[in-house]
Amino acid sequence: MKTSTKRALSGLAMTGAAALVLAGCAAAPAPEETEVPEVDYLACAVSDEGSWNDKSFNQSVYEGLEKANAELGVQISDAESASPDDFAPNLQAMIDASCDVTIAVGFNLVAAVNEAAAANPEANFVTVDGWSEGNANLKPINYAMNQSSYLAGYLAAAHSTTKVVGTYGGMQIPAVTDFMTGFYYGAMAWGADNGTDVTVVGWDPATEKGDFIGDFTPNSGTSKSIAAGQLAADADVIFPVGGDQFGAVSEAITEAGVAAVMIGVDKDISVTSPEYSQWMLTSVEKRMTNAVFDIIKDIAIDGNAFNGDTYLGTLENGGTALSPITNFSGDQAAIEAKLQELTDGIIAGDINPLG
Amino acid sequence: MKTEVTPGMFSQAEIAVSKKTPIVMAGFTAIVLVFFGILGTGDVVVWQFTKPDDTFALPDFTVASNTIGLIIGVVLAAITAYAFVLVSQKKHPALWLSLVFGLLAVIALLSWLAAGNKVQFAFILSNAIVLAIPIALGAMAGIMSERVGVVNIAIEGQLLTGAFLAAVVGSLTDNLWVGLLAAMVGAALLSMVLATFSIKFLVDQIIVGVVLNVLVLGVTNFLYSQWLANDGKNANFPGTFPIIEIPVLSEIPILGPALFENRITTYLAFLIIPALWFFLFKTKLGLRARAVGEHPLAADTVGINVARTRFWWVTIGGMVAGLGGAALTIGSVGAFGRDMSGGQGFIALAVVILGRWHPFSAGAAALLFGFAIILRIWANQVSPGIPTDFITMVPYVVTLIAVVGFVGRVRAPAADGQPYIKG
Repeated sequence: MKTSTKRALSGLAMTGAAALVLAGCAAAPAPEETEVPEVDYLACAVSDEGSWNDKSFNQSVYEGLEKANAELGVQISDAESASPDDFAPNLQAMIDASCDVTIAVGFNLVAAVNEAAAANPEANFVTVDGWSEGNANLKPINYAMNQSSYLAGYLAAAHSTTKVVGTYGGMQIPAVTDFMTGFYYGAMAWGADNGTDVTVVGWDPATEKGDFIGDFTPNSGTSKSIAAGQLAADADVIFPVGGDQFGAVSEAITEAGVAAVMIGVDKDISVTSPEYSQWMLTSVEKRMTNAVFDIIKDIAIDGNAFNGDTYLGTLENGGTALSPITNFSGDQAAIEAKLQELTDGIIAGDINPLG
Repeated sequence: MKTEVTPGMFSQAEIAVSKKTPIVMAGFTAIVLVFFGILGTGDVVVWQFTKPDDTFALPDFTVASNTIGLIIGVVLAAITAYAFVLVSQKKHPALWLSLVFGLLAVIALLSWLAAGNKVQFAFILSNAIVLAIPIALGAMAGIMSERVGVVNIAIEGQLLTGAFLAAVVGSLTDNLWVGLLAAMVGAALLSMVLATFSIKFLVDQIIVGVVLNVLVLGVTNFLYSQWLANDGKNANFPGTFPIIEIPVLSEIPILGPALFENRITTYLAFLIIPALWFFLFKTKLGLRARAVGEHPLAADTVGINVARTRFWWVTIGGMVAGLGGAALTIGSVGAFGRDMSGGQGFIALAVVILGRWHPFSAGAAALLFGFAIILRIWANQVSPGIPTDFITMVPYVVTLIAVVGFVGRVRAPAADGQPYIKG
């Protein structure tokens, strides 16, 4: 466990000093170099087993904290967990440090943070990708993944030469099928726009039947067999919604000897796992940075009271988005323009990604 | 089944002719006749035996789903009647009769599920085999240690160790063979810990096994999240062994591609299963090993070193489980993922019992589990109308019936799990 409050404060002081020096010699300082007034608000975060530089949830949350520190002047503190045994003690350490808000990162901390919230009604908590078990002082951050998945489905259908695209999930739970349903309707929308029949294998939102691994075991043989089955059914874009399945899918593609691609989930897989970039079309990302920043700003700067309402990451607030497109078969500028149009449509409410 | 067995290995209940087999058969026959035949749909099902690019491409076989159900139902009824006749004459129905019965019932089931669609037989069979390999090798490790009287709960941990080391060492050295070697050595070292604690220090074998599983899970999870997740390109991107097509044999229609177009990990499993049978039942070494597992005191009396026999069988068993772990990564999906063995080591333990501590039976039982996994996936893809839960259930129901109806009572090696203290 490390505390970066001191380091952050000294950094802040240095910035302040630099700003003063600059103000002394420069006639008109640039607006972003003005001193950020220090705010009496301590925002803290506890990681799950991943570290703060995991290129995923934890890192995005930490970047949100750093952004809040730099732009809003709030103070920050954090604790990294090395194992599930650290969750409760780390949360307690944040409570003892009188944090104004403590962000628990990841689904794995959901039990620990609910316990801490119930035991400390005077403290405030945020759970990323978790839920509140009736605690008014616990704010869940969730994501409308169907929105970005809709864009991914549209892109997949545009890329596909067979006009068959596939998706499968870890388990048949709403958090997973939300992706798959958005993907399905996105692919169908491309078909309708272009007067071409598009087939989605692996999920049918109407009957709620589809392909599921049965668990979230990464890179299982089961996962590979599902991908192989979808490739055998002529799919040439695969969207696996079950965590790290990219080894399984890429091996299935290699073994089938076809020119298929896959779509990543949660983070930009081309960046976080560059070894798979040759097979990636895009990824549907959960972006925590903005959510964390917005929540802190709302309370610390705008003076609103903390509430336990769910913060929903959408295309509109940047909580979810499509990663940069790679390996696209057609006119990339044209499809990017079209995806922007769809994004605007979803934000405006003209397009419903769930049907 | 004719195998050389230790005296007293099988109980009277098994030798006595019971009506269980024909009764179970009658039940299945009724299901096939009524549900797949009479109530089945007339939709056409296409059996694809070969891939279009195979050398000897067999023509697709197209037939109405309910016709297959009816024809097979009638044949099954005849087999059932024959089994009843045998039992009434105090003869035990041969194993091949049960096997033919099971095969026909499976064909009827597949035809029923795929009504209006295709049965890609080669796809199902080859996937079932690849999925069964880690379980089968884990079970061989279990047989090797339990036959000498050491219960190996740590198979799960050995699979995970093998999977991890194969992927990581294979990536770092850029040589999959080194990865394979590391997996086998690593899992063997883990087995040595189990062997040392349970044989030398007489610690409860179950406890040592559980502790080893938890230890491996913790270590690999830690290394995965701290290292592999950040440096996957260098440390966790091994790729897989190339698929070797054995000339001539791989061109056999239907079975050829499934059996003889595989990776080296699968071929090694094909060799290890009969080799283990040979060593256990046809050599002096195997006889000594079984003696140690059945009656260590007697073995000791005739001059067999019980502790040393146990130690080496358990250790070499660990190597086999490590190979099974390597089959999970560099023999199938390439990259390692946290907790990727996902309980297959425990399934292997069940397979040891279902296979009655016999390599061939355990191999067949592992194949049943591999088939169970691929059946669920495939049935879901061809026939989304049938409830997934039902299909998921089918293989386990079959397993239960196999245990009750065909296997009879099983008995572990007499000294399984018993520490031996030299008096």
